[in-house]
Amino acid sequence: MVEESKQKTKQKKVRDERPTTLAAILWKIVLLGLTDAVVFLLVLVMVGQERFTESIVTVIVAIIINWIYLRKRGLPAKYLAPGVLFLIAFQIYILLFSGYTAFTNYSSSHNGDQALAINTIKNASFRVIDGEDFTVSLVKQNSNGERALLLTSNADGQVYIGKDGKEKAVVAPGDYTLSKDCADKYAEDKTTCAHAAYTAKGFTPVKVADLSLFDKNKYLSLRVVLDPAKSNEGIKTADFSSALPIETTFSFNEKTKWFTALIADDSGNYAAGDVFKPGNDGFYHLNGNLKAYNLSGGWRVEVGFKNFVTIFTDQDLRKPLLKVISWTFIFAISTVLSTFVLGMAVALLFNHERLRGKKLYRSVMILPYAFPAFLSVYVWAGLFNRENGFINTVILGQTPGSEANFPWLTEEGPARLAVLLVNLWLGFPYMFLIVTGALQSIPAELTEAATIDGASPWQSFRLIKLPLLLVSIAPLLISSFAFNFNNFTIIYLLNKGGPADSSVVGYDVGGTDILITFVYKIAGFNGGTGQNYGLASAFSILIFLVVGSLSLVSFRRTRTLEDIN
Amino acid sequence: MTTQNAETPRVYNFKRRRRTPFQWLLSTGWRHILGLVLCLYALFPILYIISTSLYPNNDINNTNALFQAFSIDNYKALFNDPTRPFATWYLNTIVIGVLTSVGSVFLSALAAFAFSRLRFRGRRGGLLSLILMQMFPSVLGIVAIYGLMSDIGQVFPQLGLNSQLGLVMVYMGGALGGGTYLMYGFFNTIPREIDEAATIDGAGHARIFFTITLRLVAPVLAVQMLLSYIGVTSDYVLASVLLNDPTKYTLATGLQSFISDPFSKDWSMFSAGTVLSAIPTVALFLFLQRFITSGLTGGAVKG
Amino acid sequence: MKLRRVTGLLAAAGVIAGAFFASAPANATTNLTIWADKGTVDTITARVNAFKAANPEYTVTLVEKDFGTVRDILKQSVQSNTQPDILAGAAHDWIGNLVKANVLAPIDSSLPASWKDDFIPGALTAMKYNGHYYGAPGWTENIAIIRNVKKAPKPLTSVNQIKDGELELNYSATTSDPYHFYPFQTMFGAPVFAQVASGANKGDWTDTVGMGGKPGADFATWLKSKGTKFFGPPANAKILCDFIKGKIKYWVTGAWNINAIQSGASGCTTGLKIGTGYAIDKFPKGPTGITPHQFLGIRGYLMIAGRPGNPTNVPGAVEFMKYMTSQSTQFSLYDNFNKTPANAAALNQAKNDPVIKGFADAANTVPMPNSPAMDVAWTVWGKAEARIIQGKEAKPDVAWAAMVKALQTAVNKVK
Repeated sequence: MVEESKQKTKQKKVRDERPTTLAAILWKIVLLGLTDAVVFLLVLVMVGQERFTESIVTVIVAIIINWIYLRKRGLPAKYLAPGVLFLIAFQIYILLFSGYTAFTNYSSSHNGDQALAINTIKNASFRVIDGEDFTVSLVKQNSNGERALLLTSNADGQVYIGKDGKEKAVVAPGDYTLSKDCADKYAEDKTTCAHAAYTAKGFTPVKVADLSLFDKNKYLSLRVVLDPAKSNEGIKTADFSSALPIETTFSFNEKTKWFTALIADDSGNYAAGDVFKPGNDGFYHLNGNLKAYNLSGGWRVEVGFKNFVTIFTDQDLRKPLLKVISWTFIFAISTVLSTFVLGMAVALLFNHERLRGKKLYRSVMILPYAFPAFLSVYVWAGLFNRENGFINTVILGQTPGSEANFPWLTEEGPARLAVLLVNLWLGFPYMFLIVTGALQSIPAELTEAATIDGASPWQSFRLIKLPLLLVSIAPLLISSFAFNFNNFTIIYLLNKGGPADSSVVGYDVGGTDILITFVYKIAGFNGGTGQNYGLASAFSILIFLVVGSLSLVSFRRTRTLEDIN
Repeated sequence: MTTQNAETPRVYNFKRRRRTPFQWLLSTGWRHILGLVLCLYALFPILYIISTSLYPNNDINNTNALFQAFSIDNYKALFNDPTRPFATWYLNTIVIGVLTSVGSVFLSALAAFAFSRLRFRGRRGGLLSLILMQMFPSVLGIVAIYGLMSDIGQVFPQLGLNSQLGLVMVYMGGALGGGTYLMYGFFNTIPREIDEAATIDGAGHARIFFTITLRLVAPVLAVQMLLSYIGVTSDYVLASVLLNDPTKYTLATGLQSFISDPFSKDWSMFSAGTVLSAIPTVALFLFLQRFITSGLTGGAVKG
Repeated sequence: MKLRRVTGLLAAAGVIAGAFFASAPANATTNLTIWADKGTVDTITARVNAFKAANPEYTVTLVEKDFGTVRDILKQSVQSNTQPDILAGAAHDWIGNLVKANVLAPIDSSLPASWKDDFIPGALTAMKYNGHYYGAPGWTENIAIIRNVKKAPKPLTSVNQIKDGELELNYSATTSDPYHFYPFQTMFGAPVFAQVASGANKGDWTDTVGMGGKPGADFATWLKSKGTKFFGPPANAKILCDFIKGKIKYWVTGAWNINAIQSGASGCTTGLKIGTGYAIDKFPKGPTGITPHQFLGIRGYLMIAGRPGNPTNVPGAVEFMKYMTSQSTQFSLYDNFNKTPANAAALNQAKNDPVIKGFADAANTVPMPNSPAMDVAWTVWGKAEARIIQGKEAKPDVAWAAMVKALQTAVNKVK
């Protein structure tokens, strides 16, 4: 620390001068000017779209950027700002998003906001009732411009005119014109197909493509009365080509945001006149009572620590979770160890001054690293195939097609071994490279001195090279551990975390699942058991806390190692 | 390089003596034998996929005799399917990969320079949080990013969904976490005296950074770019979520479409595509091999 | 006043700038966007182009989406107003989950009675959830008993006629395959979920697990008594050659294996021909004479829900569905891509193909349940089945009852 502060004063002396060259000033003006111009344009667009919060945020960010680069001091910020900007926009955003989601019930049954749920419930608030259905043509009355539906019965071909709020009225056969096209546009037999009325006397046909959104909505809400006593029934069109007798099942009050049932439920869940109010669990409940029946269509709400409580109290979860946690650690630690040992062995093997073809060997050794990992994992999955895979049939010499072959991916123990073997292949080149680099940096005099003192090669390795290696490589081992702790690609692409554990109920978990793939399955991205983003987020935060603090401790420890060095 | 110079006289001494096969075995022979075994281990999945790609219409799970057929039909077919424009994907990957790697290496070099050369409050904390942030299991990443990009797209379609530039931006979000730490270590190995001398000569910090520091670490920059390029070529989740249009796909996304339909997986075409897509990366790797060791270990291994 | 004028000016400039940035202004009344996975895109592209030509008033865009992530992206897209109008090639059992996630809109207000009559029984019911239809059926699949004609000249009439070693089906050692075992289970009258007994929605699936009680216990006991001797070992990759060579007489599978049976594989290179080599049969009656069911699976076209500000192009979507379900389209999808039509007339037309006819005649199907409960069921149900078949449960009826109970708990969680 003392040294650092000394450095600080020294640095200050050197650094606090401003760039004085003309070129530097010009660059600064050009770059800042460009940035500001782009921001100005963006803000214009956003204001045009009435996105005021976003515009304010953008303006503030722009002001901060300008402040950073225009002021004399704060040199570090000038170097950090561009990267940090992207970091905040994409990585920290994800972090905050997950952090927030962990405290919500965001899931496939609670997707989106309340407006979206209301939309869904409204969409489904109808029922087709028994009665005639019609082919429709949209028309406007010539005299007063009133919108109307020209209805041709699909049953008997009778033609009617239907106006909003009135009963349908028969149009006499001479008063309408039939369309040349078949009512069923895609009928196979065009000679015998039925034709629907296209326009009628006193009316003008309207083309759907020419309709404005306003007009469209007017036609959609047009209700031709069926029974004057029932205001929730009527003939309506949803697609402008057919009209059906429809009964509205719920009414919505825009002010209170409540739904009222207009008819009783078939299964007896609610009666006509029952009111549904939004509950704080993100569902519409009968009378707002959280324990009572709820309508399908939910939205995302904040639920406090509920997801975290679930993690710690769910009995079904305990067993798979403990298993997954222990395997995650085993997997990450053994991967780091095995790749490090093999990588080091290979490095030592080729780190011999008289070895010919060293370069060629090294080139071959890094190929697994250069090959895109997700591609090679697929290849490995094929190689491990039980009946016909290359490993069983060629290397182990078992009978092709036999189900008695070694169950690489279908039983837990072997599947775990397979995962480790594949990860060894993927990971040892990296270790090989860094150990080679580190070995080259160990002064030759050290080992030579040891040899002169009579140490065997093994002793000189164990007592001199290895400790030095470990000091320099420890941080990389830790980051390798952290990487493998979340190594989704290999686990998921090799075997989808499988084989599935048939003794676990309620959660989809497999023998090679590590925490991140388990969480991925809880989030429902594998298309399995219902999506639960909230619970998955809570999990990812807990995992982050565990891995983060573990790594923090280890980083601290390695720094002390470095200091000794 | 220096180590090799030191070895030269000794190598010369040994070469004068003729060695018996036994002596050869004892000194370097066993290394060659083990080396060959290791080469087989490292190569065989790769040979396997090359072999699969040369079979017409084959299944990755059922091909066990290597190199029984040599047909370039799969390769030809790759370039003749208008619904799967392989050549376009190739180009897309190169463009997106190069933009991303140049952009993110530049961003992380800037940050690494600040961490290494400047002293400020929160320096250690900042470095540490950068590393820790990489450990966050962002399973919800695609949900969050999709929402963000569709919002951006409504203001600025050229950067939103289905935009390759937008994808590059998302990738650059990982720039600081990816390379800063390693590059920081490497910057630390450059003697401060060099900057100080330059300062005395009247150079500002920008000039030191662009004309001195960056030049000195050029090999590391190259390696970091390569690693970031590999990252782009390996990602298919983000790319497949953000890009809609097959003509905008990257190789990873496109190749995935050969085997994503659970009912018909086309492994032959997938293998051929894989082999072709790995060529630039492998070539670059071999070309940059000299720098790779130092580029990777820069942070931890000094010298 | 001044301030307002300035904001007005700014806003106007923004609109202009926005128009400059935005490539094509979205037009809800004429745009029709369809999302589909790669396989579906390959299948329907020609017909989509024909639809475009026949309906120039719509601007049709067919967008390819990854099969694995399309549902998650859909759920996000309805929140950010970037959703399509139609999801094509969707498996019908996605419907419940997507309805719950506010993604789908019902189409029954556009379904005249005449249109309902166009489809084979069950195809439209498969698209029904909570009393509403959410899409139109595209193509279908179901399993049957494939019989080696030389070894077994006559179709089975009762499951009791099958001896150990004569039949095989593919299932997993850990999660079994309840889909392939379902006919055997229904031979005991144990449907996966209870069905609505009466009313307008008669026959629809409920969320009450229906395979408990005595029928379930009987099935579990029978399953254990038959075991792997009867059904063959799990993860059996030899079935194809065993069947072609006549080592087994019956194979429980679907149309997806017919090509392999006809063309053979390495190890059994001469395939079988339909009629002389193999036949496609109904499932036989159960030990007590109950006629079994298979599941009917549908791939179809779902209508996506838009919000009032960004509505779905309903007329366009309905027109598209009518076109894609028409006899000529469905026959053409059969003719070019071997998809079994859901349109009854097209299916009749396709029955010239003995394979199509075989599977259609063997069908005594019920639509696979499409509720989120079904997503939960597969693994829970399969895990128990797998243990029982392999003799890992001493008391199969007890294990089965425990599974039914656990499944009901799990189902209640996602209800």
